[in-house]
Amino acid sequence: MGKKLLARLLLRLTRAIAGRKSAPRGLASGSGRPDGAGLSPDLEANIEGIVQAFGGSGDLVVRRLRAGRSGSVSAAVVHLEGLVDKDLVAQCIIRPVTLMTENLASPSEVLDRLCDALLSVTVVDQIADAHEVALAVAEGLCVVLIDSARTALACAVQGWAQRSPEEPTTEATVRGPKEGFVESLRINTSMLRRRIADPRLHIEERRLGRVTRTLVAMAYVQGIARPSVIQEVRSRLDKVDVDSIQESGQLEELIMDAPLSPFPTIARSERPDRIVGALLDGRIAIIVDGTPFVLIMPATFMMYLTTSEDYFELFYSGTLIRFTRLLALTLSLLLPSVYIAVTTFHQEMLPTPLILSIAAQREGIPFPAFFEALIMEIMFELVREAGIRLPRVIGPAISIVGVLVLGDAAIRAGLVSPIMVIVVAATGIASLGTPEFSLAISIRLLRFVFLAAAASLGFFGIAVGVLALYAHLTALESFGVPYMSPIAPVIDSELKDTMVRAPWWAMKQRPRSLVWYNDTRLGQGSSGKDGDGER
Amino acid sequence: MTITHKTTARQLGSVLFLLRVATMTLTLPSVIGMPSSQGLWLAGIVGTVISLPLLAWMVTLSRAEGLDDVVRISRRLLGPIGGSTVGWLFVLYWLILAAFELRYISEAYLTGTMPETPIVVFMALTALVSAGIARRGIRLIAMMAELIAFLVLISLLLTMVLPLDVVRLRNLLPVFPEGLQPLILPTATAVPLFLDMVVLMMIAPSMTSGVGLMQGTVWSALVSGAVLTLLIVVVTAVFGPISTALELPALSLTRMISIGGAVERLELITVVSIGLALATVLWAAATASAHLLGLRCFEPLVYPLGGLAVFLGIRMWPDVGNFDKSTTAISGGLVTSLFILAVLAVLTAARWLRRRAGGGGDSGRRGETE
Repeated sequence: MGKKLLARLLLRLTRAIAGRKSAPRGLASGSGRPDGAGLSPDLEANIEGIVQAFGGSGDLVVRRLRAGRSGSVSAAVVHLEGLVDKDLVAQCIIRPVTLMTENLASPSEVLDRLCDALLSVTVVDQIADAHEVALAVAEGLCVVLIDSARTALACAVQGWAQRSPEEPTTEATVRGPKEGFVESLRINTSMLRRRIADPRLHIEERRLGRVTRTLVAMAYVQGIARPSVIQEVRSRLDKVDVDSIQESGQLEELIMDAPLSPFPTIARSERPDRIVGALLDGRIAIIVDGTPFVLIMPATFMMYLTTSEDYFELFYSGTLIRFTRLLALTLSLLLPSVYIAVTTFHQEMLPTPLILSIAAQREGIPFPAFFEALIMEIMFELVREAGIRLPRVIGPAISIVGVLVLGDAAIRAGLVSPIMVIVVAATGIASLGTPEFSLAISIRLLRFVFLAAAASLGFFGIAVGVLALYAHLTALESFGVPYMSPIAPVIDSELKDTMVRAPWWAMKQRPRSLVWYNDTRLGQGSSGKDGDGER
Repeated sequence: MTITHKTTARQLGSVLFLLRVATMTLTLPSVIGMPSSQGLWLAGIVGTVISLPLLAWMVTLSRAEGLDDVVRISRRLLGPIGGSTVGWLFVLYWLILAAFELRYISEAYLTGTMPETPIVVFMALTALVSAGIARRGIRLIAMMAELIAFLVLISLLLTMVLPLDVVRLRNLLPVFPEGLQPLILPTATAVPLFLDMVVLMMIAPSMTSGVGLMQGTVWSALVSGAVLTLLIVVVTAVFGPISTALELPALSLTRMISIGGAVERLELITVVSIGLALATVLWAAATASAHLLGLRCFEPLVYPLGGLAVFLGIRMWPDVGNFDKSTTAISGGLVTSLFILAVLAVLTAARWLRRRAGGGGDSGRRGETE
């Protein structure tokens, strides 16, 4: 029943898009095939056309049937194996067609009878265009062709193997829902619908990718998200002209504001609760079929330092965790460069015993501190990368052995000093404290830039680098919203949810920079046991 | 969007605060070379109080001219030749200010930690980054200034609070050992520091309102004045009689802080704040030049002007001795003050004459109506 409902929804939305856009299903524009060629009245010719369109693919199933009294009507059911639910096809399509015993005069009567009374699937669409029929088959629909009829019936009976929702691996939390998005767009939209049981949650679907024709859904809450931002997202999606969309990351690069910036201006998440939070803040989500990573826009820098868990724990812990993350981000960016600056140019900064200890450890090291740091950082990156690529069973073991053996051997060989190993290890740990992987990668990249700046100009180089970085971040925008807001520019009302996570009862308004007219998040009487809204 | 693309009062206040406070508080020119320092805090207060009406004068003129920038106002009121002359003088003034800022921050690093590095490296790198910021316009500078001004303020307060263990309040006594007359010179030194905020007359067109222009200006003057005064008090209380002999009193103060030695590096934030101040000045010079040259956009001028500032910064002060003298010389401040006051007086007079002649002196009241 659920599958039927989902399939029906899919087909209705496809129809709605087809009605709104000149190129429904994305078939016309990039396929290179002529549109508008109608079906032939000859059943065999139509079957042959579909078979030819698929190049005689082995997974194309053509089931010829006889219907009507004494089998007077020839019909065929066409679908792709693996994309349809076989039981549904057998029970809801083949069986009613073969059991149809009326002696109907014309093919259109046969079609109407099948469509209106016999086919027990939730969504049945009539298609007259030959190419569209082929596309419908490619999308996983089951097509019923009737001899002498110039229209085919496309039945939504999709059903293929898919992963069940599991806890997201990249965004694990201690507290909060343990459900993550999966590769199926329809399951993902249903997760959002379950959490926002309101018709104002609008989901607009379209197919992107001339060849892959990937289903992409744009979700927002009407009345909360700004119409200008919605329109901007729509127009950027409309401009996408690419042959394939296999992952949301590809789409992200095609529609982001500053494609040359190392910083992501579109956030992503595989947690439905995070997406729901973003939607209710006035943001827009883009779900791409085939990936559990959902895009969120507009994105701000602070979004990358927050997790949904911050909102589920008490605000004290939420705030503390955020400060810890900011510290981790700063350390992962600057710790090695500060070490280089101190040991190379600003030794007077450290207490004498400490600088003597460092000097003693560095005695005999053949490289300057910069090269020492560079070698260790590169080794660390290699071990980390190898740890990700190795099979899960042996990955952690190899990583630990690699780090221990390499680190120890490097110290014993006199190539690096123990303090450098500590600095690099601390930096590595800190970089893992950044919740968003895409931001962590950018920081890793910039760390090398800061290393070079510190090695050449000490603290001056770091300071100039920080200034340039801050200027770059402040200049960035995500769909018209300043990337560093609400810090630059300062938006007082939104500071309650930046580094400090204010209690829920104090966050009465949604972010003003994002929402349209409906900016009230918390009503009166929702603030504690007194229920008087006063604090 | 509710996020305005205009400059708010707080952003203007932050820009002006950064423009002056970093150099002003680190060099404390009011302190250097004075016979005694016990009563110098009064010079800080009086300097601020004198500056306020002068700044209000700038704001009032801008508001009366429809929040237009000073170059356009000059050309409108003084005609193409007179107005252009004033405009180019402002460009030169901002270039010299940029050169000074560049030289100052570079000298601080050169003498402090990296004596072997050629000074041009520091100057060129700072100019490059600042010009990059200036090229993005006043909106970016204003947005960046809010957070940086807050951090600078916090770091300055930390600088003043952390050396509490070495503060000797008796160093502040007697309050006026030689009477009030010796305070005239430091007061006169403090006023031009505030007059450098004349850049507000270039920022005015981007303001949300005329009221905001006034609020931001007054806020920045008061906060800068308070920081200046407090710093004089703390430096005097910590160093006593030798405070007037210190070249960089505020930096010397940070070296009295003993939290792991790390707080000494508050100069990190100084580089950031001076970089932003430099960006403001370069933006003003580039925008004014673009107006004067009849260009539609100022962006192409920013990097050449940054290069010119580097050149001036090297050529104007052949050695560090010359530069040190210029930081304490009253003459430079006097020229600055006279130039700005003369321009304000001439523009006000021209406006008055024009109104009397019925020439439509009210060229716009945008700021007043908002």
